[in-house]
Amino acid sequence: MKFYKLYYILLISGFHLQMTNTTYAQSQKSITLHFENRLFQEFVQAVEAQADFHFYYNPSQLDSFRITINILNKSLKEILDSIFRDTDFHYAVDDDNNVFVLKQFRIETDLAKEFFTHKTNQQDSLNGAEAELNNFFDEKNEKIKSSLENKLYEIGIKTNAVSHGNSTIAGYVRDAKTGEPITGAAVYIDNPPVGVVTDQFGYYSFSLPKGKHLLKITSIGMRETKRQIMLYSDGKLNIELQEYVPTLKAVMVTSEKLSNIKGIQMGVDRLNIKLIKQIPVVFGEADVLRTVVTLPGVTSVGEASTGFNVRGGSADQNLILFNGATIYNPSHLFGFFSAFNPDVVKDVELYKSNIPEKFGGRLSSVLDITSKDGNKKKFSGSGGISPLTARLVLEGPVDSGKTSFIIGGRSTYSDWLLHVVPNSEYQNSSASFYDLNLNLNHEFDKKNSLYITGYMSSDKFRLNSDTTYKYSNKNANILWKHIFSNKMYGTLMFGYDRYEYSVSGNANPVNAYKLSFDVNQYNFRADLNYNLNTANAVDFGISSIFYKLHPGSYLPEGSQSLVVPNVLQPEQALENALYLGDKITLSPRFSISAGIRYSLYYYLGARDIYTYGPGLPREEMNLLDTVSYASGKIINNYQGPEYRLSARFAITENASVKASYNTLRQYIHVISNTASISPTDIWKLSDPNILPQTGDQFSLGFYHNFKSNIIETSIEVYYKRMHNYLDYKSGAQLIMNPHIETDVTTTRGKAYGAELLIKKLTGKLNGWISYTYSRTLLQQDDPLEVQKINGGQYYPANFDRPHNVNFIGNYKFSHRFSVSLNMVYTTGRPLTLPIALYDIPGSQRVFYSERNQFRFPDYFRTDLSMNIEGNHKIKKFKHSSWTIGFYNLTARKNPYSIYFVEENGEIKGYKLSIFGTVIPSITYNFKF
Amino acid sequence: MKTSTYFYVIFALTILTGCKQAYTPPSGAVTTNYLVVFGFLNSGADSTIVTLKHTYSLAAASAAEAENNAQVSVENDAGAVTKLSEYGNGRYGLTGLSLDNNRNYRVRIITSGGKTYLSAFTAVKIAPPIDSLEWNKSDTGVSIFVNTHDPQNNTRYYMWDYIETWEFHSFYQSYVHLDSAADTIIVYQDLIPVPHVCWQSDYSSNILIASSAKLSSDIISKQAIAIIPVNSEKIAARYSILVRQYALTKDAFNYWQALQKSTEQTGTLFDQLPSSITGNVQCITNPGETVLGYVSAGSITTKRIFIDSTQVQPWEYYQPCGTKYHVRDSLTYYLHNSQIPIGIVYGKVDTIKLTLRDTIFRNIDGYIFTDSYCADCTVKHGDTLKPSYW
Repeated sequence: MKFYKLYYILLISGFHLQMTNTTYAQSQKSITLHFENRLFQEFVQAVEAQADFHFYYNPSQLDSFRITINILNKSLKEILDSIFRDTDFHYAVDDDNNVFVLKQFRIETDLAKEFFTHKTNQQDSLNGAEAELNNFFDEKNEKIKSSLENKLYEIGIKTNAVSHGNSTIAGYVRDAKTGEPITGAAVYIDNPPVGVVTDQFGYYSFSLPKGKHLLKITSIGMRETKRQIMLYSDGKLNIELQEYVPTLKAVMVTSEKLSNIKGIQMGVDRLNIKLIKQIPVVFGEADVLRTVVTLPGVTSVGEASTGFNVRGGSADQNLILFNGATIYNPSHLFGFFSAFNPDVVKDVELYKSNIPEKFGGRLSSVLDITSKDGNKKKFSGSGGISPLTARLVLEGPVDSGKTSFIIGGRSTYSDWLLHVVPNSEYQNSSASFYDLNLNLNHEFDKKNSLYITGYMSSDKFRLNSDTTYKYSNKNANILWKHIFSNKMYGTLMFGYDRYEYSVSGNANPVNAYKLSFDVNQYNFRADLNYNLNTANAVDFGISSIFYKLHPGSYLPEGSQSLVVPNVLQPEQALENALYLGDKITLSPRFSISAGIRYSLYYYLGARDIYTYGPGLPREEMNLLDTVSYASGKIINNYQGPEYRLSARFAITENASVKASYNTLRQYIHVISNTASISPTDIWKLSDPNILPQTGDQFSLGFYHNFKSNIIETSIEVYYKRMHNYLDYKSGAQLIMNPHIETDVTTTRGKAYGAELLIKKLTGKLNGWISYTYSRTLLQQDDPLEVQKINGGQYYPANFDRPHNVNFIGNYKFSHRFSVSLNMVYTTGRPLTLPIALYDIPGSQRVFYSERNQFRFPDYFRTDLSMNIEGNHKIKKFKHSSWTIGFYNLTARKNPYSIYFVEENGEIKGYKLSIFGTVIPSITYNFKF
Repeated sequence: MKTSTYFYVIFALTILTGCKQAYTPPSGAVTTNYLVVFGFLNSGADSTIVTLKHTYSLAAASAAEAENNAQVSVENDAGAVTKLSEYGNGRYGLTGLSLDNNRNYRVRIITSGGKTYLSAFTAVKIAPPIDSLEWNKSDTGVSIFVNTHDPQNNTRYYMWDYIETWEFHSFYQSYVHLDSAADTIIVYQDLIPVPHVCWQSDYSSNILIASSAKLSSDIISKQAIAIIPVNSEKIAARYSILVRQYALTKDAFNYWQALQKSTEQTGTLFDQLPSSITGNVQCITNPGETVLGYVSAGSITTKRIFIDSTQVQPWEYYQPCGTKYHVRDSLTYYLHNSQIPIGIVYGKVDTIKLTLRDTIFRNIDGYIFTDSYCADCTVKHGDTLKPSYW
C-alpha cells in the first residue's frame, strides 16, 4: 500500500526512478578523476567520457558548484556521494544509467523514510519552538519563523567537499517588525561553543568551522530563533527577530538562553528599554539613569543629583555616551529626570570592571546608551502625557527602506503650575526643561551605511530664589560604517559635544551677575573589527578628542550692574588614543580578552601657566612666574598605556568564574563643591600643575544559574586603586579661580566592595535584588602639601556609601495589569559638619569636623507603580497604557542637601529634601 | 478638574515647602568645649601673652568662655621653666621673657581640671626690621604696603598685624550743652562743651602673611597690609598705622595660611569649602582630644606712619548729618531720642540764624537739633584722649 503510493508520486514527478540500491550494478563501473576546483559541467564531461552515464541537471542550479576530487577507480555512487555530501543536491541513477541531479529534492531516496516518519519529523523540526502551538496571535509569524528555522541556509561559495578550517559568517540582526538593528543579540553555535554579540548596528561577525551548524540567536525581549546553516566559505546571513509577544496561556518552555555564564564580559550590565519601562519612577517617566542606579555596584550621589557612582568611583569618572557622543550632564532638573527620552532609547550598557579597550578617558565606568534608528518599514510614533511633562517620538522610513529617521522631543510645562499657587515665593520659582533627538540613517549599499545623530537638552530653573540655573547639552555626530569583508568592518565618526551651564543672580540690579562655563569637545574616531579566525576576534582603532573649555566668566547682567567683568582664560587640549584588543577562545571553557590602549594627551596654548617655587606647596603665595604660551603651542603632554584583561572559565554548564584587570587614565577632572545648597561643578583639564588621574581595578566574579537559567545569581568583588584624584584643600575657593591648582590637592584612593545579585527576568514575578558593599577611601598624598586632610589618614570620599540594597519587583496580575515595586536603601553619604566657633586673634572662625566624618541620615525609599494596558490586539492603530505611580510611598524625608547658613550671628543647619512626601503621578503613554 | 488641581497643589507644596527643615547634627557632633590656645612668646622686652579660651556653640549669642585658674609656663628644650602670671579672662603673660634665641620653646598648660596641654617646641624666630611702610591712593582707596628683607636669607616666612588709629571730628560743633539731669540746655560762649575731636583705634582682623620661599633672596616687596576705602572717615583728618612684623617658622606659616583661607561664611554660591585646622597644641592627658590654636616664639619689629587728609585730597568723607528745628516745648521728647541740641533759635523760625557765638540772650523760640553722633564724637566710640605719639 505504502509502496504504491510512493511509486505514484514518483510517476507524477515525471521520472521513472528506482531506488538507488537497485542500480547498484551499473554504478559499479570505476572512474578515475583528478579535479581541482572545477565546474560541475567539466565533471560531467569527464565522467561521461569514462563511463556510460548520462547526466540530467539544471545548469543554473549547479553553475556555482565547484568540485575538488581526487579519486582512483571508484564507483560513480561513491563519487557522487562524496561530492554531494553536506550539500542539498541529491541524485538518482535509473536503469538506463541516466543520472538525475536535483537541488533540494530530498524526495528521491529519502522520501519513503521521511514520508513514513512524517509526523515525528515535524515534531522534531518544531522542537524548541515551544510556545508556537499555543500562540494565538503570532500564527503567521510563527509559520514564517518555522519555515525560516527549518530552511537550510547555504553560506558562501558552494563546494561539494566542505574543506576543513574556519569561515566567517556575518550579517545584521534586525527587528522583523521595524527593521531596526538589534544590539546585544547573541549569535552562537553550541558545538564548538563560539559566538558573538551584535554591536550597536546589529552587526555580527564571527568565525566558525565550515560545515553544517545550528545558529542560535537570542536577544532580550525578542523571540529566540535559530538558523540551519551550511557554511562553505565566508558569507553573509541577515536575521530578523520577532518581538516577544506574551501569550495568554503561555507554556513556559525555556530553552537555552544566552546567559551570564557564557559571556566573557564581566561587570557589564545590559538593560533594554522594555525593562527600564517596568521600573516605577517619579512622575511616571521611564528613566534610564534611575534604573542604572538600581544595579549592583552603582550608587546615586544623592536624591536629585546629577550623577551616579560606579564601584566607588566619582561621578565624573563615568563616561556617558549617547550614540557615541559624550554627555556631560545626564540629567534634567538637577537630577529629577534623566536627560534621555525613554521612547528614543533602545538600550543601555554599563561597563563596570572590564571596560573594552575602545573606550577610555574615564576611570570608573562607561555607560553606553544607544538610541533607536527609526522604523525602516512603516511610519510610527509613541509618546506620553503627564501633568508635568509630555513627549512625542515619530519614526519611519524615508524611502524604500534604505533611509529611516527618528525624531523625539520632550518638555515640561510645570512652570504655569508654580505661578498659579497663590504665594509670592512660588511665583518667583520656575523650572523647565526640554530635550530633542534627531537620528537619521541611510544604507547606501550592503557595505556602506551612514548614521547622523543630533541631541540637545536644556534646563532652566529657579527654586524660590533669585538665582537662575541653566545648563544645556548639545551633541551632533556623523558616523560612517563600512564593511570591508566578512571578516572586517569599520566605523568612522566625527562629532561635536558641548555642555554649558550658567548661574545668574538678579536680586539686586547693582550686583546682577551671570556666571557661565562651558566644555566643548570635537571628536574623531576610527574603529575596526577583524575576525581573524574562530579563536581570535581583534578590534583596533584610533580616536582623537580636541577639548576647549571656558572655565568661567563672571559678567554683569543688565545695564545697572556694576559687576566687574572677569573672564578666565580658555583651556585647550588634545587627547589621542590608539587601541588594540583580541578576544581569544582557548577552549570551549576558557576564553581570554586582552587589550591595550595607549593615550597621548597634549595641553595646548594659548594660555598662561603659573609656576610655583620648586619644592613648595602650590599656593598663591608661592607663585613664582607666569609663562604665556601662544595659541596651539604644546604646553605639556602626558601619555601612558592602559591594559584591559579579562578571562572566563566555565566550571559547569551553569556556573562560571570570571576575572579581570583593567588600568585606566583620565585627563579631565571635576571638582565639586558639595557644601553649598546647589552643587556647582568645575571641569578642569590636566595641565602642568594638575596630573592626570590613573587607576586600576581587579575584579573577580562567580556566576551561577539555577532552574534552566531562569534565576541568575552572581557575586563580584573588586579592588580599585586611584591616583591623583583631586579633592579640595581646606578652605578652597573653586569658582572663578584662575589657578585652581592652589585650591586642590591630589589624593590616592582605594575602593573595594562586593556585589551580590539575584535576578529573575521571566515569569509572572520578575525582578532583582542586589546588595552592594562598597567603600571609597581617599588619602591626601601630595608630598608638597603640609596641611594634610584629616592628618594624612584615609578618609571617606564624598560619595562613599557602604551599604546599598535594591529591590525591583514586577508582578503581572494579568496581561493588562501589572504592579512594580522598587525599594532602595543606602547608607547616607558623608558630611563635614561645622561643629564649633572659635576666636583667633582679630576674628572668628568656624571649626569643622574632620573631612567627611559624619553622614547624612540613611536613605530609604519605596516606589510603587501600576501599569494598565489596553487590549493586546497586535493589529490596532494605537496602543496605549496608563501608568499610575507613587514615588516615595513611605513619605520619608530623605535629605538632598544639608547646608549651613549664618542667620543673625547664628550658624543654622538646614536639610533640604526634594521629595519629602508621597508623589502621585499619572501618565498616559501611547504608541502607533 | 478638582482632583487634578489637588494633584498640582500637592506637587507644588512638595517641591517647595516640604523640603527645608532645620537640621540638627547628630548628638555628639557639635562640641563647644575644645580648648583654644593662642600665644606668642616674645623674646624681647615686650609682653608675652597666651590666651586660653574655648570653642563655642554655633548658636546665637554665645561667646568664647575663658579657661581661668590654669597654670601656664614656658619651657625650653634645656628644661628651663618660666611661669606666666594670670591676667584674667583667660589671659596669661609676662613682660620681658628674654628667650634664648638658640633654644626651642613650648608652653605647658595645666588646667584647673587637671588636664595638661603642651604646644610643640618652636624655634625663636627673630623678625628683621621693617624697611619701610609705603602707601598709595587709587580709585578704591589708600593701600598700605610693607617692605622688608633679611640679609641673612633666614626669615622667609612673615606675618604682620597692625593697629590703626585715626583722628576724626564730629560734623557739628555744639555750643550748647544738654544737662540731661535737669532737662535743660546750657548755652556756652566760646567753649566746645561737647566732644568734637576724637581718636579711634582698630586692630587688624585678617591674617596677613607672606613668604619669600620661592625667591632667591629673602625680600618682601610691597606686601599689601591694609586698605582704607576711599573717602573713609579714617583719613578724614589724620590717620596712623602701626605695623608689627613677626617671623614665622615654616610650620606656623602653613597653619596661618590654611586658616587664612577659611572664613565664617557658609551657604553661598561662592563658599569656601570646610576646613578643620587644629594647630600645634596637644593634650597630653587625653591624646585624642582636639585642641585648637598655635603658639609661636620670636621677636617683633614695628613701624608707624601717618597719613594726613591733606595728602590724599580729594577725600570727601560724607556724614549724613542734618539739623532739625524743634520748639522749646517738645524739648523733653527729643532729648530722649538720640538727638542733641547744637544751637539756639531766637525769634521767628523763618529767620533761623545759627549765630552760635551771639552773646545776646533773647527770647529763645527753640533749638536746633542733630543726631547725637553728628555732634558728639564719643558716640561713635571715639576717645577724646590724644595718643602720646600723635
